[in-house]
Amino acid sequence: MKRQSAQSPWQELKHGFITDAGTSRHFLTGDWRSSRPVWVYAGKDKGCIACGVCTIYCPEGCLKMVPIEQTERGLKQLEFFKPEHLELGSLVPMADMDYCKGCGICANECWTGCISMVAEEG
Amino acid sequence: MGTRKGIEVSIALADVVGMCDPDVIAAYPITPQTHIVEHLSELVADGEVDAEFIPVESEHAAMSACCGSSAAGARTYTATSSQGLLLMSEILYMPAPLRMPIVMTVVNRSISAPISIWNDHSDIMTQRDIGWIQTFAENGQEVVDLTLHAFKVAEDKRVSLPIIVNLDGFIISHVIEPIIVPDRDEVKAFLPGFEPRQRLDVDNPMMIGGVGVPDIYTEARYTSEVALRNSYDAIVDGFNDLEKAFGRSYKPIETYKADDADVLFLTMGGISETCMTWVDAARADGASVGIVRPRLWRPFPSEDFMNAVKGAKALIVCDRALALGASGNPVAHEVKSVMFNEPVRPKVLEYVVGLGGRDVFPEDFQTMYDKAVEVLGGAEIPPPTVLQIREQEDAS
Repeated sequence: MKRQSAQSPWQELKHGFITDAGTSRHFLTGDWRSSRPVWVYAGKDKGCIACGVCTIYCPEGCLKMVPIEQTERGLKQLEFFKPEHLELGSLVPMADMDYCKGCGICANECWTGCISMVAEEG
Repeated sequence: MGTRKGIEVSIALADVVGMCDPDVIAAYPITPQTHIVEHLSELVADGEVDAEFIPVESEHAAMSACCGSSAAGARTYTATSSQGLLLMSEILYMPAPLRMPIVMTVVNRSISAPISIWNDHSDIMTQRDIGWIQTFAENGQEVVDLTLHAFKVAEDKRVSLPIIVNLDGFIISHVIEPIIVPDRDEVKAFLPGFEPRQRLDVDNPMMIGGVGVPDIYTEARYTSEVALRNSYDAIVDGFNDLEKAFGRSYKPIETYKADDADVLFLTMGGISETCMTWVDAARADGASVGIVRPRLWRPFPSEDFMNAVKGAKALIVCDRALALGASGNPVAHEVKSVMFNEPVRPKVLEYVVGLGGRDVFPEDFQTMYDKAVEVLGGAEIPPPTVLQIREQEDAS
């Protein structure tokens, strides 16, 4: 199927302005963000319990559960704090920064308060 | 062929909508549309119509549900009036560009404030530009026929657009009239099963109603404009099919004794028949007068209209809505735009009549006609006038 591009004349638009499914993937909207969610997966007083509530509330659908070693600082936190409920391969939430707009809903909904919104710089 | 019976127009309409075998009816009750959807919900509950009746919480939800069901490929019907139409307004602009052949009855009623349940065309005139095909009925038989026509044309592959059939609240909707109600078999022959041009399908995902960024919005809206203008042929074909099937003839612009008339009235809806009564009497007294009655309001049939009025010297436009602060009222605006660049055109007298259920009597047409005769005799054309306004009596 031909993609409807900015150059399409009106005659080439599909009946009823129907477009391919899933095309919003092409638009990387993460650069709208002014702050980003940062997780404490394991810490001194608090930590992520991997409940997944943040992934359910994310209006962008850009949070998913991944093995902790694939997250930015998860492996370091795991090795340093040695939490009882997490080990290598444990699934924890991570944001896809290509699409995260920094709305903060995940941080607001988090039961343990382990998500902080940190201002983007530059 | 069919059964001639005395029946309330709303009930006959609901019966015929049922015969059209809709898949989904999503509606919220509002006076004076209530009897239509009430009766339809009875037909569905009694198992006489095999449809899903969605008793939504508002008209906004009604039209949203209609869009969803039409996208899924269902034959979809709804009806509303007045404030209900206004509450729907946000969604009403969507099905036309998305090419969803929803059929809706609008039982015309005035709008608040002050609150009024009675008839005029204030509601539909706020929704002129929503991209739907719009027709106007003048009596119960036409309501039934135009509804059959609406399903036929909306689902025509050349068209695939939503359609509104307008009828006057109470004056038509609640009147018991002799109506030839078609048989179920006749309707089935006239209106075969609906083959949607698209349907939502989990195995073949698509996006309907995506974002129109500045690079594409103009083109996307333009497709809706072209589709509506191009629907004219299918609308006329639909009238011809209707005549073949049921023997009653319809045209985009109807006329009455207009061919040789010096003075023409322009009327829409039920007052056309009152006007005909007066025209018959006036003709007997030697007046050269006739009527032009736009049956098709959108797309506006400009060429048919010009052909109908070009021989007249004066055109009296009877608007049923008051456009506050405008230079004229909706129907007059429309036809003056059509005629502006024409070298030969009648003089236009603009009147607003029958607001909020104010009855329009034959004498009212006489008053307007007398004014037109004065204008043809050299008097100045009066400004747009609310005909039936009660003025304070002169204290002196």
